[in-house]
Amino acid sequence: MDLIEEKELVERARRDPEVFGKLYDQYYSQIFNYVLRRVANIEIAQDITSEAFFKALKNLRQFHWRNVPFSSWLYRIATNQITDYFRGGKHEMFSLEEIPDSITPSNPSIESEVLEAEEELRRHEDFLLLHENISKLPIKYQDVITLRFFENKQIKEIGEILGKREGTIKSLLHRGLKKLKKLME
Amino acid sequence: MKEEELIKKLENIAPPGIEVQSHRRRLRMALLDSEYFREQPEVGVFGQVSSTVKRGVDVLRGLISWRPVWKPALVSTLAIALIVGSALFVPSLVTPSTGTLTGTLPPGIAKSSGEESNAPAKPILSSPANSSRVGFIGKQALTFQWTVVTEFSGVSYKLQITSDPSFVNLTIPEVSGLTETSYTLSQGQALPYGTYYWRMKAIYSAQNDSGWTAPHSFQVGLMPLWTFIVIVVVIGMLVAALVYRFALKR
Repeated sequence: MDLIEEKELVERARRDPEVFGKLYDQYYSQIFNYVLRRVANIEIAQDITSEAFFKALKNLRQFHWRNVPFSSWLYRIATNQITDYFRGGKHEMFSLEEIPDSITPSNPSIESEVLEAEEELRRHEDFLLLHENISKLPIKYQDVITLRFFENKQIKEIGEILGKREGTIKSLLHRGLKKLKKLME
Repeated sequence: MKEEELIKKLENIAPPGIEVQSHRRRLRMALLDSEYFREQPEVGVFGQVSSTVKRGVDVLRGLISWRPVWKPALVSTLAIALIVGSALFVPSLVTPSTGTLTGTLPPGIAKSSGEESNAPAKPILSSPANSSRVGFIGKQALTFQWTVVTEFSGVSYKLQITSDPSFVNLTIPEVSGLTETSYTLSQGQALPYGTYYWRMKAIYSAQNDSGWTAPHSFQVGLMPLWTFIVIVVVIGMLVAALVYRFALKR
């Protein structure tokens, strides 16, 4: 989807739930996996992703298009939610327990699906080892390292997501890597 | 381990790419069924006009099908449409914008300490200027103005006005949700003689804020109303005394 198309979609999504659904389908996986790579826990990642999308919906009318991808905005909201979580801040929990889900043979139960996802996460041993070290860094270094290496974002885009200048991102990245290297030695 | 090796390791690692379909489906359902879409106001003048026109067309259809009175009904509907149209368009055309766009700040420009700051840009307080005096006597319904902060995620502002330099007790309850770059006090909020302080904060729709600006102080009025009345009375008495003396001399 190019930026012009996305801009139009965002405008329509303010009023039309189906259009918002399209944006959600486009970005859910990206945001969920970003959160998962930050917290390394399926259930927490689900909660934070839910909060992030509800915040995005709540603030959609305030979103101003400035030729920055919509995903950058979602990443920023998710990053703020992650920071809140790490700092033990107040959470608005959005319970999905009341939302029914159809269970068919090809559609396993919620619990078994979460268990499967946890199993799959455990198989990423190298990642989890690295994550353990990254999670010991101050949050600002975790932000840039994850976005750069696990989300493959360019410096400019990381700057847009975090609301910082490119020079600042480069410097954070440099210092973060130095600290991570020390931790891994 | 060298830094290059660490970078290589980070670049080559396969991060988890997991889908929990039940969560995806249920969250989608919850979002699309949320209150946001149930309580949608018509947005902007065009939204209002289009809904007015739609309603008008429905009314016209009903009236035309009721033949005996369709002509007067059509005339009155058109008249109502004209009045409604004027009411919708004219104020938006003649009302001047209250915003004063005196500058555009890129995100982060107001930071004081470079990368250590997580806070986005702060607005700059324009009016009333720091250490200025506003008005002469009586209560003043001032207009507060600040520079716009441009940020892609959308910005609203919070304003605090107080006579307490520590901002613990606010003279006027905190004003939030401002989307323009100015705010005029209502007559009920008009400030009496005294020294006041004001400050602003930009709130970003991604849920973070700029932090408060440094406060500006300003003085409302030259003197309290009672002082002015005393001066007027004294001057009046002096004039009366002079007149009396002049009259006596004659």
